[in-house]
Amino acid sequence: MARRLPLDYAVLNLGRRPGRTLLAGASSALVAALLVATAAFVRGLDTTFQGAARADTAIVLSSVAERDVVRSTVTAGLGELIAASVRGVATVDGVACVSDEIHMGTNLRLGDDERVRAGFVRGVTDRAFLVHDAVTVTEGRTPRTGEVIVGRLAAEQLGAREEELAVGRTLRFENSAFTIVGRFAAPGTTIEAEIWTPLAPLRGLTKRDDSSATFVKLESPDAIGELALFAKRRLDLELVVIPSAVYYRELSDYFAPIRRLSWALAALIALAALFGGANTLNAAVQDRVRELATLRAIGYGPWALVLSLAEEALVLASAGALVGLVAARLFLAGSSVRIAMSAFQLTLDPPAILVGIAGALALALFGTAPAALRVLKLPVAAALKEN
Amino acid sequence: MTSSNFLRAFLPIAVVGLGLVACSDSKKSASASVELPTSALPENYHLAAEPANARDVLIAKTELKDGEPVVLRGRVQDFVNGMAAFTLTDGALKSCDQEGPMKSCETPWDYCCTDPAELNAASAVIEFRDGEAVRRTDARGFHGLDHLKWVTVKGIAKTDDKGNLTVIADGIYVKP
Repeated sequence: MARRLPLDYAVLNLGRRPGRTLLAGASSALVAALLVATAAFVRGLDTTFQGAARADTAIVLSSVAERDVVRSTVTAGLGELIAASVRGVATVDGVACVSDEIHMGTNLRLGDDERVRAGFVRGVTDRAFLVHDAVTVTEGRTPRTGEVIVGRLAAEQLGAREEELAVGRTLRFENSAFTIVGRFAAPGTTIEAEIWTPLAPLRGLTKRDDSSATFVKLESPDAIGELALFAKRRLDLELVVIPSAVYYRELSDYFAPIRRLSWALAALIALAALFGGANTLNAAVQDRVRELATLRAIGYGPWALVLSLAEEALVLASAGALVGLVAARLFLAGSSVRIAMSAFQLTLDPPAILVGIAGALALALFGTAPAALRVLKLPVAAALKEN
Repeated sequence: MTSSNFLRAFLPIAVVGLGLVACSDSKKSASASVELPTSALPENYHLAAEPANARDVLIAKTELKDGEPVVLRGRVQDFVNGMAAFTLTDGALKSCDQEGPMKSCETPWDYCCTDPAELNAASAVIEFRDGEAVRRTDARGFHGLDHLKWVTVKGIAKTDDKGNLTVIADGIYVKP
């Protein structure tokens, strides 16, 4: 069996050039943190849309709205009509799970602050809580006329401080003031960045007698066909039924270029770190060429030296990656990102962490390649004489 | 020759890396040939010959009364997934591949070049029922039934005061 160099040799080598080791370790830490951040961003974006998507829920909106809920207008009372006409609509205590809603982007002002902020307001009835079962009122109560409840990420979406959206504070839109009477959570959905207010008063304020869409929860995903059939029968209403899973997948697809760009930027930076790390290790081999030739001369094979180099790089990368992960945990956990009329939380979960660690270790291994090649081709006799 | 070794070792890695970075969503042009699904509609719905005295959808919608027997002809617009039902559109309406700026449209049966109100006015719903409920099976594939196929349907008309027409079909002839 070929002789192997002890692991101590690789570890001790790291201490011989503390400055260089520190810089290479920092590079690994940065790469790991960057990859974790990218994965957390992309996964956060994905899960936000997946969270709102449910196999047993469908959205009924105007067929001329090109699947845009904000642009859609459907007749007021469509929910009642659906509840009365469609088989398979889910019920809770005899109440049909149909939710007529207005979705609107509007300009808001917080308290006495005259700064205009773009926010997303949803006009709802109590039935919305039957359909959107991810929503939980975490503080206060449900809203009445002149009141709103705000999502957990609404402050982030509005670019405001949390305390500006505390229960008891006011906000203004559509020339009216609203008191915040509650806060809600809807983990892993876009709903968390919204502001909810009762539907009927909002209709009055916005001078419209319709809704944007009706959300329908069904007894099973199979019943979506019954709802689609209703839309076909009522051609006069110009409706289209979209399963919520399809709707949110399409929304998620809309952000695919952003996801690709994020990964491309991370890959470019990782590639720069790869070249830097490879150059450092190559230089280290150059510095130690006589020592390596001596090891060859006393019986260690070229692959033993290569293995030792790889161990050296992996130990350093592991330490750096751990530092990077701690930094990512400290700075990213619980952070949220504002995007268009919504916001989402970064998902710092095991897959994201795995991407960071695996990326840093893979870069370390690839970075060993030039130095390994050099060691494999080392002319022992000449190298022993090298100064 | 440090630099040449360096480059030799690194070139494949760099190429792979850049390939990953440049990776784009290069969707392959999917084959357009889609096989028709098999429909579980009972055979007794099938009409081997076209029934006589068929009416066009546009005319039928103005003439028919609720509960009246009807023979209706037109082109299949769209199906309801998982249900034995489809929308029948008057043959006078041109689909996107026949008229309009989108002759290469991949879904010409959605009549997206036609005004939605005009389309709805020229459309009726055909249903295959088992008792009061529409059968839970796809109609598409029944004796070649597909989008934009010419069909003639025999059944009972159901109308409402909003101008909607539903035909509860008891027979269908699919033009080959």
